[in-house]
Amino acid sequence: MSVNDSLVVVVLAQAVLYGTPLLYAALGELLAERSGVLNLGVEGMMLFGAAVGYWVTQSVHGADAPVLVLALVGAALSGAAMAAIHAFLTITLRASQIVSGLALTIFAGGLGLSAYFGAELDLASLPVTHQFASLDVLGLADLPVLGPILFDQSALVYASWVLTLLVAVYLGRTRWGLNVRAVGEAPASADAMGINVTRYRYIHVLVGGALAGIGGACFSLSIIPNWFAGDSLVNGAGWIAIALVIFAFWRPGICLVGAYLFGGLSALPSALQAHGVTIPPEFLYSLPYVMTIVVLVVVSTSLAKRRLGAPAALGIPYVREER
Amino acid sequence: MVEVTKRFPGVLANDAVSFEAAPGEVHALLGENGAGKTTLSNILTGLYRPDEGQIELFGEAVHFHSPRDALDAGICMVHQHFRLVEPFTVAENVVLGDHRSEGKSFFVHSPAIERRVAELGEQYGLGVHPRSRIWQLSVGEQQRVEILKALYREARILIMDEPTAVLTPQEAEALFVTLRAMAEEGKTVIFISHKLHEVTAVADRVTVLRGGRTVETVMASDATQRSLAALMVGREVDLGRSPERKQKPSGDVVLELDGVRVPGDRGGEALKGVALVLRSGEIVAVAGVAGNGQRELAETISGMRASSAGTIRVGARELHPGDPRDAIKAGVAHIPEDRLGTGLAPSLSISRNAAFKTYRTAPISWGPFLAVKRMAELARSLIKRYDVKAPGPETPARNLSGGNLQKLMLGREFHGDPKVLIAAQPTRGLDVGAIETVHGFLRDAASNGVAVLLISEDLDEILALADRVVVMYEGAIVGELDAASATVEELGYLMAGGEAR
Amino acid sequence: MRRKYVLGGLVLALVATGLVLAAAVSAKPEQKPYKVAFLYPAAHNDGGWAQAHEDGRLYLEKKLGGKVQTTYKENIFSNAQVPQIVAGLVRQGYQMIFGASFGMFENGVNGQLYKKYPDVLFEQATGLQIKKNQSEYFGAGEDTIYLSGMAAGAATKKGVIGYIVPFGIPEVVRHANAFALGAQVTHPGAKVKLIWTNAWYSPPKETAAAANLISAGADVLGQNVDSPAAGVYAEKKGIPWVGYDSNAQKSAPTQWLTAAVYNWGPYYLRRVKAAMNGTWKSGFYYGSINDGFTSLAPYGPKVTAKTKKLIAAKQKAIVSGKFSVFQGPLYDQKNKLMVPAGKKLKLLPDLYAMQWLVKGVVGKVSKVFPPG
Repeated sequence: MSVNDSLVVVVLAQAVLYGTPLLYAALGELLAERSGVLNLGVEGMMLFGAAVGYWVTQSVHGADAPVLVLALVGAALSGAAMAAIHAFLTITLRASQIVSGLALTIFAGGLGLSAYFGAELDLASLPVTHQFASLDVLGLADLPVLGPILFDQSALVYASWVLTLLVAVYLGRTRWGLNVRAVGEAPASADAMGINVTRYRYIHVLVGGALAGIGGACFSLSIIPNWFAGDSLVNGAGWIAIALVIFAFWRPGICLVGAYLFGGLSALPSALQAHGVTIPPEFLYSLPYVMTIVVLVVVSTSLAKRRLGAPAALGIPYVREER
Repeated sequence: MVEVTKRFPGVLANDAVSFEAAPGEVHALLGENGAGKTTLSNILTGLYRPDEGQIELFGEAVHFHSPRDALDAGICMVHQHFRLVEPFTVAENVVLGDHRSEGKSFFVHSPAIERRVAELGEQYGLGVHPRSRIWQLSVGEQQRVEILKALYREARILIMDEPTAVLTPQEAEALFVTLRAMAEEGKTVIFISHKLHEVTAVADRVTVLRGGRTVETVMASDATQRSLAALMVGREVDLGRSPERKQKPSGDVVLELDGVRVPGDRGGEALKGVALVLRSGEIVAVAGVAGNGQRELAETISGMRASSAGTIRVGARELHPGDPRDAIKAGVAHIPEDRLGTGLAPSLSISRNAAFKTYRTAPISWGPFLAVKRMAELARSLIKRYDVKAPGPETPARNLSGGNLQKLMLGREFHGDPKVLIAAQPTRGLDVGAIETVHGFLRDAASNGVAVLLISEDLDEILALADRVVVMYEGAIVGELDAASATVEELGYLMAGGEAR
Repeated sequence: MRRKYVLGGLVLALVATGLVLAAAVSAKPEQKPYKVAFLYPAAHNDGGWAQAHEDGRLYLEKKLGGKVQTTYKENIFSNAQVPQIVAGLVRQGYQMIFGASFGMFENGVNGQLYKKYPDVLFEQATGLQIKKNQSEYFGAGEDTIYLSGMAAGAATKKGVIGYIVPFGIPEVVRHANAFALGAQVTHPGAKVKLIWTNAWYSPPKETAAAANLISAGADVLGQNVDSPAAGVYAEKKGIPWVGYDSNAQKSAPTQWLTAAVYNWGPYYLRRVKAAMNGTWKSGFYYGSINDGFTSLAPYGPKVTAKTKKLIAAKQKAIVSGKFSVFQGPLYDQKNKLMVPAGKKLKLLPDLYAMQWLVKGVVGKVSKVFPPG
């Protein structure tokens, strides 16, 4: 058995694979939250993106590459469409972001729109036609240890690295990024400096939705290339992504590390069983969720809240003419 | 500005207000709270749109649809509450939203911006480090950042809304120098204030507003504080020091603090071993720049905040730390800074609010039940005795104006025959008439033997009312002066952390 | 005042007439259809267990036409939902309810439903609680799973087969053992590696399990879970796959071997007919290959003629009673003799309480039971 079949390498490779949808969704949520809008609808947007992405691969015929790109566009648009509902309710009508987000997850989720969409088009019974396969771009896939972890992945994985870098540079180094952060920290100040708070929030909530849609499509186009009834396909990844943003202190780079950590946790139980490690699997399966709870408990202490850099206006609607 | 009118639901905030300001002048807008100054400035900066009238800039009518339009036209404003992004650096705040020069590029070139900010700071005496983060700066430094923002944008008109409220007298002096320097370069500074001496000190011309209307524009050199006050209030006002009170402090110690330490909200200590003695019948004022522990001091004595060390005694009784009921029982009355939040329940009626401190005992309560009629009676008697302008005892507290709220609060607190009265910023935001009433109540209380602790940022008020003044700086009492001989300069020196002479 | 009463009386009379008329009209059709409901633990089109039951419901509808009215409630992820759903169905006049998953009408409050609704007929799949108005039904999946294990054994080269399992309950343990025993017929000494997913239906976990089994050396996959996700993954990796409980060849067209499937339709038809003509009696039904309840799904292209012949012979032996899957000698994982030669395990109580794994199975029985 080569080193590339060893437990550690296998788990790390799967950590990257399963972490990728989390990374897309978390980056999207990060952008929305940095602009001050909390979107708890990630799970629903992911599921809808997964359904639409899969539907596009079924209804468009052609070579893999263009069909898959089109499927991603479809997934992104559907995620953004869902996010648009959230944006309208919370930014324009100033509804509670928590209630709207939860409603969105229920509406778009496993017992709502996605399930209806999947059932109406009978997606579950359609065999897979196009999917993202592993792409050995640099010819390094057989490199010991690093090969399977980093270079034997699909284009979605490579693209997520580029995206992480882009988001980091955008937020940290560009004028727009500065504006977004200002809108999330102190909307009144941003408004006074001539930044259009509403526009910035809309754009980032929509982009966040689009990325969540793509994150969902990672499941239906790459990890489990198929559609499955109910919410079993995404299976709570949206919630983990939301926790991940907090875990990452709203920083894209840490998001990447965190996504792979959570991805690894979800791959760990079956990997350990397969390699004969007898830790009770029920304990292992609960790990990502336990971690999520731990993260939320830790960061909800007042000390952490102040130090971690949560956008100060997160969750608060902005009203200009308040008297 | 020509005939500008702005209405809010139920309120005519600006009624055909007109004034003009020339390049190179400091133009003051003077008026009481509620005279429409802030609304007017918000219209000037594009935050609100006028319902009628228009703004003419250098002879041309302009229509601002958003703050950005106003910024582009060269109008910058320093709000009373700063519009800064706390986690950002000074340089980032300065460049935020700017879409010219360095701000135009897609990427933010920090070094170039920082260099420019440093240059401007040097030129105008506004020294702040460009890489400091806002939350690390003092309030005075934060104000400098606001002015730097305007300078960086090469604003032609700078509006300052009540800029000295957060400054020590010395800091205010420095600010005036900066503002004059800007005016000399041909910029226009619009200085909004209700403090007469500042207006006469810094302005070239003064436009007085009252009740949302322009009263008159006068040359500052031709005006006196007295004439301006008359214009502002609409009648002659007595601004002098209080007449000597009949009863001198008796000498019985009523309130005694010893080595009181209190942890702060943001880590560290808010009070660092405060010792203080109050005798019955005297008014002791606490002076200090906002945020030096005054609020924590008031809250600790009234039991809303628990101390970590030290003792608080009312008479011979030692208070349980962090127990408001114990403090009330011991005879501590508290008029908090935040009237509608801490002092009263805005959506409850006057009668309920009036009974807040006495509802646990007869005659207001009857076993577990409340005697609603007696509550209303109590409220009616308070309304009458303290001249609260309200339709009736069942009116929700939030419908009252600031002055009437304060009267209601005072009435409630006096009702329990307190031994100690803590009044935190009791006149902030009130009009001159209401201020006179509140001052009268405080003097009466002292005459009746109550020990009054007055916490105020208004040095004129402190000098007018107090027998003794203690100065707080960074959570400690750094000096104590006899009010009769104290001067504003001396107090300002202590407030800025100077040693007592 | 009086006028008001008169008016009220008139209205009442009018309403009463309307009601009588309406009743007369609705009574017209020759007979009210018999109302039957089905409860599924997953979506009706899950491509697995629930879908097999759904096929049975459609079969029932096709056979009885307008004489029955059926409905289903899907995605019942927790049995705690069942009492409420049943209450709703009873209110709507459903007279017979099939619960397609373990524990739906058993344990705790669920176990009291038969008492609460004495006029409703309950039928529960895979359970053991039999009452006057409650039956239990299932089938000898172990026989067909054993046969499908033979197909897996024939396909493995390395002698390592991955088997994805949901919960450590006797039913699943029995099935895993049958699969291993079957595989060892066509590949003596074959190892069957288990991965527990702790879910009946979880495509992400099943996909991860498939990937990890392959990385741990398995060159054939089988499963006792309900989604075809492992098949999709196996197809991608070129690894032969044995499904479970539905024909899922379309999920893995080239790698599909076969699957043990259940034919619920005829049972449902028989029971509903009995209920309609009053001959329904509670009991325990355990279907088999003999009566067509259990069978093997059509083979995929990778199953050789030789294997098919071997399986056919074994099936014949089972049907004739000459062979039983759990007949001795059987050894456990530590090579301890559990069933001596010449003896065989009985369905009740032995197989319905099985908690030990046979020799050649790699893994431990998970102690987590389905959410109840």
